Formats: sequence, C-alpha cells, structure tokens
Amino acid sequence: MNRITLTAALLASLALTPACATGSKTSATTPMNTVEKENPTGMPREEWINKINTSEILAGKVNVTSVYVDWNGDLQRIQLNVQNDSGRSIHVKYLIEWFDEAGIKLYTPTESWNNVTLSKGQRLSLQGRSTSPYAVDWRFSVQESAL
Amino acid sequence: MKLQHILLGLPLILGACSTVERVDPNSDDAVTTMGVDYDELTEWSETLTRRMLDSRFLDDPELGDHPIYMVVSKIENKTDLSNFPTEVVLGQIRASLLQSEKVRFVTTYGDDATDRMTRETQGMVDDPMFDKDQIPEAGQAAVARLSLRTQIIWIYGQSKKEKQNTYLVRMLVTDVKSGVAIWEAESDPIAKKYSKGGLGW
Repeated sequence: MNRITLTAALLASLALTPACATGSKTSATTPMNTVEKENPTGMPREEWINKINTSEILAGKVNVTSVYVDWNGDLQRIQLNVQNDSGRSIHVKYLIEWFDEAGIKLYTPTESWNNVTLSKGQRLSLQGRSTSPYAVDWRFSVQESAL
Repeated sequence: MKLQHILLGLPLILGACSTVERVDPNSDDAVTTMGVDYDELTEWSETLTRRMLDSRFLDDPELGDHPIYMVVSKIENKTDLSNFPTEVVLGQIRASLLQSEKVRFVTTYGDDATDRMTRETQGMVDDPMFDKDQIPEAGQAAVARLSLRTQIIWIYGQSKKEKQNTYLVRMLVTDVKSGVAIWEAESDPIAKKYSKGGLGW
C-alpha cells in the first residue's frame, strides 16, 4: 500500500474521532498555610469518636482531628475538623447521616455527598446539621473523589 | 478490504457500542454537565437550609411561636438554562424546614407548588352536592409571616481554549409585617470548566 495513502487514511480517522472535551468543576491545588489563635476563646463541646477505617490509605490522608457538637433548640449540629495529611491536594466527598433514639436512620431531604477540595496540609471544618428534632446520633463517611 | 477502508471505518466501529445503565445521581458515575447536576442541587439545598437554621432568625420571639408560616415568593432564573430545576432546591429546603418543626409553608399562594384545593373547597359552600358542615368557615386560611425569595445566578467566563460556568443561589427572607429582609445568604458557587481537546486520544 502506498505510504501516503495510508498516512492520509490514518489522519482522516483521527480527525473523525470525537475530540476529548471535558466538563469539570474547577479545583484549587496550591498548598496552603494556616494561622489561628493559640488559645481560642470558644469552648466547643467535643464529642468522643470511634473511627472505622476500611481504607488504610485514606486514613492516612484525611484525618478527623476532633468533632464539636452543638444544640440549637431541638436541632443538633456537628462540626468535623479534618486535616489533609496526604502530602498533596486531594478531592474528597463526605456524607453525614442522622439517627433517632432507636438507632433508626432518619429521612433527611438534603442528604447527599458533599464535595470539598483539601489543599496539602489544609485544616478544614466540615459541618452538618440535623433537620429533625428526633436526631440524636450521626455518622460521618468520607471518600476520595474525582470531583 | 483495503487497510485504508478499515481505518476510515474505525470511528464508526468505535462509536457503535452504546449502553444505558442506571447510576446513583450522587455518585461519581453520574454525568458531569456544564450546568448544575442533581447532587449539586442537593448540596445547595443542604447548605442553604443549614445556613438558615444556623442563623437562628427563626427563633426570634418577635416572629411568634413555632411553626412560623412562610410563603415562597418569586424564583428568578438568571441562568443560561431555561428549564432550571428550581423545584428540586425549593422542595428539599421546604421539606427540611418542615421537618425541623420551625416552619410551615403556605400553599394557597406563592410561586412554588401551590395547591388550589383550599380555595376550591371554600368555593363549594353553595354547591348542593357537598355537606356544608365539612366546608371550612371563611377566613381561616393562614397568612404567611415570612416570604422566601430566590435568585439563581449565572456567571460566564471564557478564554481562548476554555470556558467556565459558575452558578450560585441567592436567598432572602422578608418579614412581611415590616417588609424588611431578616435573613440573606448565598450558596457556595458551583463552577464548571470546559476544556476542548485537539484530538480524541
């Protein structure tokens, strides 16, 4: 076969193949420095937590350093203070589920995985709020995400 | 068959295998579009509900006992998407606030999911077909103390090879007794960047 014809056919094939266009959320990948008060004035109520790690790799990346709880009337809210120890910027998604006194999971209209980007070494506070006065317990799940 | 014929037919062969599968709209398997996707609408609802409850304006004794009546005012779609599903955001926020037992939404008027049955039931009072004793007395329908106004905002940016859509929701609650906004917030922005590749490899 003529080499020119073959090259032309190959180029035509490439041109007809759809170009790989992507639609994606933008992300920040720059490392981050943080400054905060040495002795904070706030006195949060800290919650004891039990970590269930199913991924040792992820456990070394996103560390929950503490959890604060607060009640606004009958409604509970929590704050999970996390730190990115992975040595690089990562995208994670997290989910907070709520349970009643009987341990039954409550219907939460806005329950979904939330996406967040953690820069290298960044400490970030993730918040969740129960919308049901019957919520007494919670569960936090975190997973590395494509964003 | 000549080799060049096979090469020319390659795109057709590659594009032939299409499938349909059910996916979790909250998972990474879901399609990422240049608009706002389902999981992002839910993310907005969660953020705005949390911000509304965190601000504690609903606990102001001036507004009276819970639940406080609220009505959905105008929802303004200022995006490039003509059929923006505002119902998803409003529906989830309404359901969450109802669940909180702090708010109830008036459905006889407003701009979201109104129900004409309250008014129609009142109109049946002179219809001999119905038992008058079961028709609610006039003047009992609730009037909202608070009004929830929504704007969906779109910001567009473009460079030579990339373009970006940024969307966010702006909400405000007005005390209709005074006409003063007592709570205002924005969602976190959702930004989507489109980069066009040169060749499909």
